[in-house]
Amino acid sequence: MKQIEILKTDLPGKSSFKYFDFPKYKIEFLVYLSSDSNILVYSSFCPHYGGKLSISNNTLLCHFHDYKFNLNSGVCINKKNGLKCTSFYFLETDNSIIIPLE
Amino acid sequence: MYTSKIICENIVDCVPEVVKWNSWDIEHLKVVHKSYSNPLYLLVSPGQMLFIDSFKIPVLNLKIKSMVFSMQWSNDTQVSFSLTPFFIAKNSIKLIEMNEKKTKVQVTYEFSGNYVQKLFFPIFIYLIKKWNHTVWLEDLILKIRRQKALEYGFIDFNGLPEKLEDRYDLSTQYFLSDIPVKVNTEIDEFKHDFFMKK
Repeated sequence: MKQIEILKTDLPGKSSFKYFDFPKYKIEFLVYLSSDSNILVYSSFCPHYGGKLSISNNTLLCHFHDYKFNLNSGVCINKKNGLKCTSFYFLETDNSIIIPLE
Repeated sequence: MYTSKIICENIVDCVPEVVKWNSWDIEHLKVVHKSYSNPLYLLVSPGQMLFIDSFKIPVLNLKIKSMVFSMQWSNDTQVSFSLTPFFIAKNSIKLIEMNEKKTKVQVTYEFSGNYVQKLFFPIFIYLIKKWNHTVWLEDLILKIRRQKALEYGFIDFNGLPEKLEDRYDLSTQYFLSDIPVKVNTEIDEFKHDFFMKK
């Protein structure tokens, strides 16, 4: 099974996010580390039109069309369309997080 | 009537389909472009659209309203007709594929006016050039990103919502009923008593 490993030393600081681009696998992650050290891994592509997601005020944002998503659930909160950001399951080891790709 | 024409060309690292998507993606206008506000949609259908737009003229910072009819003329050309307080304009956006990931976008602006308006044509040309450059730069990041989405096999695209009210911000449309009108493609305009099909 293909998997991607991200070292914990490369993770963003608390309450911030970082992009990890893997052209080989044609995937780009947005990784968020919360203030209480919870890690969230999303595709950086907005589910609407593929805009680059960012995070501000605990909300996922897309600046293409001003779409906003709940940071924890990934569900769109300002448009009635039921869109949801793609989140990724991962395994956590002492030194890294491992994201399996199907 | 007097007419004048100006051609603005730009090249972008993406396929023509991405540029076409950007041209028809009206949802981004008031989000991405500083000069646009919420348009009033009068008619929408795939490949054609009629709306009243408010935008700021560069340099003068003057807000004006314009009625715009936009249509996909051919696979590679979109044509719009605009009625502004200053002139009637036609602009064509032609997409020229240069290689597998490079597109030249050729925008031709034509405008016409009477002999008084003609005196202002040099100013219009200057403002249109500036306008084109500003809008191009504001859109560029979207096109590059959309190209990356395509290259990465972006498959989360859900299409436009079925209901128009979910598709556009129609909060400004309260004063007219039943707009935007959807073009009814079922109507056969030739179906009358005297019509004979060849």
